[in-house]
Amino acid sequence: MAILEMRRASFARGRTNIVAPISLQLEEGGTLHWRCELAQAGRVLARMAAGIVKCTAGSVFIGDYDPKIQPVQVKRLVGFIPHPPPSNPFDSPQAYFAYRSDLWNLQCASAVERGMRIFLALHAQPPNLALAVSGALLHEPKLLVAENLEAELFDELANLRGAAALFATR
Amino acid sequence: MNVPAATRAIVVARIRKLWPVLLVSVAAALFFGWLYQNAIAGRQAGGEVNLGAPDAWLLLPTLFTTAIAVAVAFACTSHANRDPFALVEDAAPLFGRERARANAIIPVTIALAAAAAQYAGARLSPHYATPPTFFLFNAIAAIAAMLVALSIPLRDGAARILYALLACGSTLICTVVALAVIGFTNGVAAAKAGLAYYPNFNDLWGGVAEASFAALIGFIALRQYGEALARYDPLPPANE
Repeated sequence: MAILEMRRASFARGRTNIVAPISLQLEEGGTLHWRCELAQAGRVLARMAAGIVKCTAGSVFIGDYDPKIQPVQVKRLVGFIPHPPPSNPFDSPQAYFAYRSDLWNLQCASAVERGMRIFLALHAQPPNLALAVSGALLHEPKLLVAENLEAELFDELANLRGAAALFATR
Repeated sequence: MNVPAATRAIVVARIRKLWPVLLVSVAAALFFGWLYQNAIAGRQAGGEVNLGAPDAWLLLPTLFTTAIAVAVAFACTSHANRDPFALVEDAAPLFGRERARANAIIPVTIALAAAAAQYAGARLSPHYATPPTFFLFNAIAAIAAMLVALSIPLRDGAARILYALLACGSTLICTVVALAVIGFTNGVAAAKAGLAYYPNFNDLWGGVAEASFAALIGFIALRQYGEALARYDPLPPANE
């Protein structure tokens, strides 16, 4: 079963085409590293795959949900890693995980424990990236989406993601 | 009261982001309240202003509070670009209306704190003469202005300016509604009331009318903000 499906999905702002029509399909548990000509197109495509940006033409389905109609159901399935990863606005990773667990309505103590476990496993990565990845994996998403991810990081994420499918742009 | 965890998280995040704006707004409003009270006393002494006569200058405190509301809204404009909170909240499974309500709490608190600080500043002045009710009316108008101004970060170009002007317009209309009702209930023709009743601002019905009108404006503005948040596409900046 496809966790992510795009059918001639594109995004335009005014008269500017940012993402040209794209068709793709990603099965549950699968991985896909999509190459885009422009960095901006890659970032917008990743946000479309995460249900954050709605396509202006064509269609996107995430776990059979349409982000235009059921954005909340879509976002429960997706973990999103922005590029560049933002700095931690809190004093500690624990506070950041507690903030995210409240937004996703998770049990705080177990979410913080899980977040710290993933965060510590990513000790070789820059702290901001480690925090963004562990935050995205906090609610055990079915689809992990990363903006403009390098090949080495894609491989590392593929090992860390558990059962989640991985979609990244580059 | 059972506050949803997501609302609590967004409120805490906004406090962390906007506390410098709160401090600057309160300090500026405190100083403005004091300065305004001294200035109006000076103008009265010089015969330049008659508190019983129409004078647009008397609307300055309301416009100042609106300016603070618009400034707070512009301080939130990093929305979806480099704001680490916005990036997380855009990806969170929340309805637009939930986010709108949670997002509004701290900016509205700042607008109310600015209105209260204006009153405190005026009280510090040796020339304090304005009825406290005026500052209460000012605070009610500030809520409406802030709720309209919340949409500013989601707009670009001319639409952004239009929302700033709408925020100013909503406070002015709120104040005029209150003044008109005060004139009417005091037996003076509403058309003549205008600013003439400024010094007699201790009027219950004027307050009720203004609060009702501000609630209507605020309700529509908050609904519209929730709709806009739900439809908003947070694009990354093109130059990164």
